[in-house]
Amino acid sequence: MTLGAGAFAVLVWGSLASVVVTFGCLLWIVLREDVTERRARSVGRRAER
Amino acid sequence: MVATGIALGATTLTLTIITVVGLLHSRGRVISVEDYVSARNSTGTGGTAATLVASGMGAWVLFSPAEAGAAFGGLAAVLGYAIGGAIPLLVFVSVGVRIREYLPQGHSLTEYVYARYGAWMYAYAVAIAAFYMFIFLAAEMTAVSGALAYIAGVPPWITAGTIGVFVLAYTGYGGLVASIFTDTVQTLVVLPLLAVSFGAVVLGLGGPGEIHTAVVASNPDLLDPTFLPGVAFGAFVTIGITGANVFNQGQWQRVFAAESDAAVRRGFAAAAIAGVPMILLAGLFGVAAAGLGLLAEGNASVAFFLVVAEALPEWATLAVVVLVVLLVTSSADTMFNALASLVTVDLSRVLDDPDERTLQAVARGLTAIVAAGAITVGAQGYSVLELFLLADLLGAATFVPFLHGLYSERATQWGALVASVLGLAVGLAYFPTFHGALTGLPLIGPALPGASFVHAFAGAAAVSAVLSVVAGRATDSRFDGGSLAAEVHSLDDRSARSPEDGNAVVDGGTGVDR
Repeated sequence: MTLGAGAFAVLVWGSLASVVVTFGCLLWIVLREDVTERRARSVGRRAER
Repeated sequence: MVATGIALGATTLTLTIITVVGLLHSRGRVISVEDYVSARNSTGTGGTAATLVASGMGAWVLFSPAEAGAAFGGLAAVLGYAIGGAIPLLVFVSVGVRIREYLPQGHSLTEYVYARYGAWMYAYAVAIAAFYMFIFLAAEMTAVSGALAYIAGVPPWITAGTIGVFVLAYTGYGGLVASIFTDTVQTLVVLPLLAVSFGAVVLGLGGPGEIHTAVVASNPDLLDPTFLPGVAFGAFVTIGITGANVFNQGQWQRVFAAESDAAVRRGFAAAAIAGVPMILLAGLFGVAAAGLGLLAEGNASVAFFLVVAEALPEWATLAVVVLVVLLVTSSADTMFNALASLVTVDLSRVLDDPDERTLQAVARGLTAIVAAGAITVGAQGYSVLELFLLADLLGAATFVPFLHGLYSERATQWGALVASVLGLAVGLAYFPTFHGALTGLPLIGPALPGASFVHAFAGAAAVSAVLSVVAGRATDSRFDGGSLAAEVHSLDDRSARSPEDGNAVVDGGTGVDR
């Protein structure tokens, strides 16, 4: 495999891996924020009661 | 080709799920017109990043980068496109926080420009913003109609009509709240779908080694990151996208919807980084299409789909149909609500004492009008590329003077306006689309320089930026940026309206010399 072909393979697989990592990170952050929001609402409801 | 009925069924099912998700989420959350157009301080970092990825990454991501890779300079053009897609979002990392600081109760870019500069610059900015956003929307509807006609033979008016009606259903009801939530869901579905589709296509073509060998054999320039035409393309695309995005009301709405300054910074930065590999991969499909000899005369714009058809079995292209529909709905709902909000916010200033019910009815009515316009234009199959480039040029010639007012107390309305118009004149002098007509003019024609996109965009941005700064230096007047907050109020905030000014939400001036 030439240097150019190796760099091209890194670019393709690296970009693909980045999309997967982005998905994982976003999913984790969104779910964590959702859990935090639900907890805050639940605490608020309990405080109201 | 996928059977028409199956493609339509997949499209309708996808749209039904998204619509139900949007309606259920916004039920009970959209109480006032303020919620409908601003969803203020409601979105965390993850939600902000996800909605920006979804609303920014329309179907264009499957067309334009691949076309750039295939026909406008190979890898160099694709790299430029990927960077160009990230820069506008990075600009908002700083600009967004500044906007929130100056306009804590703001809703739109029009409020900023009216309060900071005045009526003339306001009119100019509104024209650019409305033009750019409607062209974006029309291009998306045209693209999805064309894609489904290409993949499954679906008549364009059926595609445009179906998507428009479903998106209108949840956006009309839930406004920005529904748009942001469905964007988040769409991003979390689109990203794995993109990854699987891209991975399957790369493997279907024999892997990166095979693609590389084929491209080197046919045109090695396509893989040269320093290939000059590609670098030039990347440069003008970067300026054009950045300029136009500053006038994207959808981005401004998301600045106000973020729950904190930190959410703006992190959300916009994350979205900028997330978009780079998506554009890069889509663009490399164009390079592959050119290298594998799949392109015929004039079909570079469907390079992505040519590669998919070459690499994947027929049934698998159904996943691409779902992908295209999701990409379009996520940007269409953003534009529906953004265009409607642009008018609604200003209407509350123009109308005499509008009540909550009237404003909500106007906002929803405008969303329906925008949807009808988008369906009509999208079904025609017009080529909107040249209009898109013109919208980008208008943005490129105006965004620096427009934003200058956020960072300088010396920026004035006439300085910004003259700088923008002269920047535009320089851009038009080089702009290839009009060059033929302009060179035919007496006196001016012979003096015009040669046509070049990179000169048009770079010239427009540079001239307007320099003139805006020079005009600011030449004036003694100073604008108190702190006064902006007092001029722009929440649409719910009746107490902030004085009885004398007809319930003005933006009262339009502090007597400071503009």
